[in-house]
Amino acid sequence: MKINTLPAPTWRWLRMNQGETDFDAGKGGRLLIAERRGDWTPCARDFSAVKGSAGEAFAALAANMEEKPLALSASGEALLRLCWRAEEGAALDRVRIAAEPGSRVTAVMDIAAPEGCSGEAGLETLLLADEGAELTLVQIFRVGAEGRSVVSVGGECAKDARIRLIQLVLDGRETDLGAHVLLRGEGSDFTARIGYRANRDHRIDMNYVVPHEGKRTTCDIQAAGVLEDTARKIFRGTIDFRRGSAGAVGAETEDVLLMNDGTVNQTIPLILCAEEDVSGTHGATIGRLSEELVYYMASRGMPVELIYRQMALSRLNAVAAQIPDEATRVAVAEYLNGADFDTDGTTV
Amino acid sequence: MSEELLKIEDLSVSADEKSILRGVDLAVGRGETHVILGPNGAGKSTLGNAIMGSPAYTVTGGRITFLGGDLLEKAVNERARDGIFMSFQNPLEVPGLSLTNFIRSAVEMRTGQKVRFFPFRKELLRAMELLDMDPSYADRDLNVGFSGGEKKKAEILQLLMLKPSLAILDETDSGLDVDAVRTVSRGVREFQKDRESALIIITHNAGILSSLHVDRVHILVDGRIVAEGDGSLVDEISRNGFAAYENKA
Ligand SMILES: Nc1ncnc2c1ncn2[C@@H]1O[C@H](COP(=O)(O)OP(=O)(O)OP(=O)(O)O)[C@@H](O)[C@H]1O
Ligand SMILES: [Mg+2]
Repeated sequence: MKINTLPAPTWRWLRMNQGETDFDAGKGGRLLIAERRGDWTPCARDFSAVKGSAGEAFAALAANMEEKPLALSASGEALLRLCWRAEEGAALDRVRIAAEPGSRVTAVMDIAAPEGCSGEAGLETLLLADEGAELTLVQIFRVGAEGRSVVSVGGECAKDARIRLIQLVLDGRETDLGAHVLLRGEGSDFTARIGYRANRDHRIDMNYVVPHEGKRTTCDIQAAGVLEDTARKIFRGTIDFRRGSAGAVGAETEDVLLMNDGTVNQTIPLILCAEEDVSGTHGATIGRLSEELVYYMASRGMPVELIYRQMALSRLNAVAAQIPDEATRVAVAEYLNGADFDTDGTTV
Repeated sequence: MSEELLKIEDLSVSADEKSILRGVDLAVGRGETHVILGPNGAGKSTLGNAIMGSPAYTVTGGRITFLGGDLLEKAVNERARDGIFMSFQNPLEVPGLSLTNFIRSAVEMRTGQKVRFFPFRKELLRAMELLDMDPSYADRDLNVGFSGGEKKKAEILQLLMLKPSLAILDETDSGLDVDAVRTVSRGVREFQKDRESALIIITHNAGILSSLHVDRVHILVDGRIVAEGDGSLVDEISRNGFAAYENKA
C-alpha cells in the first residue's frame, strides 16, 4: 500500500511523493499500559475527522481491526506510559487521546522488540488538544535490527493548544513515521523533535504535515539523524498555510550526518501558501563532520570511528534530553549507551 | 641533562602551498617548561599543530621524534595516546556530548582502560574546584554556551585529567581577565608538579609566566627560531619587543 503521502504531489520528486509498504496486520492487542498518573477517563469522542500521517490506506487498515482503540481523555496534569511489545508477526493497535481544556498531558509510547525479533509494529495514534491544553507525545522506536514499525500520528489543536511530539528511532529494519497535526485554533502550536539513526540497508520514511488554519499558529519541526552503510532516509515536511492563517509562522530544520558515501538521504521540504502574511522557513545541514571538529576530538585520543559514533550519539542524546518523563529518558540513555550502535552493526 | 622527550630537527611546514615554518630545531626534555614567543603570524600555532598532527598542515621537511619514535608517522589520536596534548586557541562546541563524557572517553583512550565512574568524577570535581569552575559545568554540553574564558579553563581541566607527557598550550591565557589568568596558571603549576611532564607554552603575555618556572625561551620570527635563552628573555621581550630579532629571520 501507499504510505506517508505528500498532501500536494509534486512532479519534482516523482517517486518520492509517497512511500510504499507491504505491511499488513489482521489483529492488535500488543499494547500494555505500563503507568498511568493523573485523571484519565474513557473517551467517547469522535476522532474520525482526525487525519493520520500515514495516509488513507493505512487508516483503512486500522479501521478494520477487531480490537477497539484504547481511547482515553485526561484533565489536569496526567501521564500515560504505553509499551508495545513486539512478537513475531505483525499487529496493529490504535490509540486515541484527548487532552481536555487547560490540561498538561504526556503520553509515552515505547515500541520495543527483543533483538533478532522480526515482529512488525503498527500503531495509529490520534490526538485532540482542547483549548489551552498541552499534549506531549513521545514515541521511542527500538525494535532491534530486524523489526519493523509503521506508525501514524494525527492531531488537532484547538485555540491556544499545543501538541509536542518527540520521536526517537533507535533502530529497526524499516520505520515509517510522521505526524499530521492540524492547527485549527488561533494561537495553537505544534513542535516536533525527531532523532533517528539507521545503518546497514535499513530504511526510514518520514512524513510531517502541518496545516495551519488558525491565526498566528506556529510550528517548529526539527529532525536530526545519522545515516551509515547503505541506509536510506526520506524526510517529507509540509507546512501548509491555509486561508485564515494570517500571522502564522512555521519552520522545519534538518540536520543529517552521513557516515559514509553509500547512504541515501532525501528531503522534500514543502511550504504551501494560501495566505499572505505568513512566514515559512526550511533549513538543512547535511554533511559530514568538519575536519576541525574531527581534529579536535582526535587530539583527545579518539580514533575517527569513535568520533563519528560519539557525534551520532550526541545527536540522539540531544533529542532524548527533551523527553519529559524521567523513566523513559533513563531507559533511552541506557539503550543508547549500553546497546551501542557499532559501525559494523554488532552490539558492543 | 634531562632525558629527551621531544626532538624537532630542521622542520619545515606549509599550509595551502604557503611555506610557514622554515627549518625549526627544538629539543624538550622531561620535566622542562619551554616558552615560545614571537610576533603574530610567525608560525607558533603552526608549530603546535605540526606536533599534534593537524591535517591542515603539511610537513615538507625535517623530523619530529617523540620518546625516541618517529612522530610524523602517527595519526593524531595515536599522538594523543602516546602523551601529547595541545590546548586549542578556539576549542570546538559539541552539542549532546557532556564535558564529563568527553573527558572520560579521552582518559579511557589515554590509559587504554575503562574508567571507574566515581573515582573519576571525584577527581574531575576536585580539578574543577582548583580551576574555579562551577561543578554544574561537568554535565553541560562540551563548550556549548561556554564563555571564552570558560572554554580555556575547560582545556586546562582536560590537561589536568589527561596528564600528558607533553602539553602544548597555545595562547591559553589570551582573552582572560586577571583573575582567570591567575586561576589558569594555578592549573598549569599543578601540572608542572609532575616532574616527568614537559610543557611548551605559546603566549603573548608575560603575565601567565610570572608564577611559573621557565627553563628555556625560544623566539620564533617568520618561521625560524632566531634566538634562545633562559627565562630572562621573557622580560627583555616584554620591555623591547621583537624589533631587534625581526631582521634575523
Ligand atoms: N591553515 C592555514 N592555511 C593557510 N595559511 C595558514 C594556515 N595556518 C596558518 N597560516 C598562515 O601561516 C602564518 C603563521 O600562522 P600561525 O597561526 O602559525 O601564527 P602564530 O605565530 O600562531 O600567530 P598569532 O600570534 O597571531 O597566533 C600566518 O601567516 C597564517 O596566515
Ligand atoms: Mg597562534
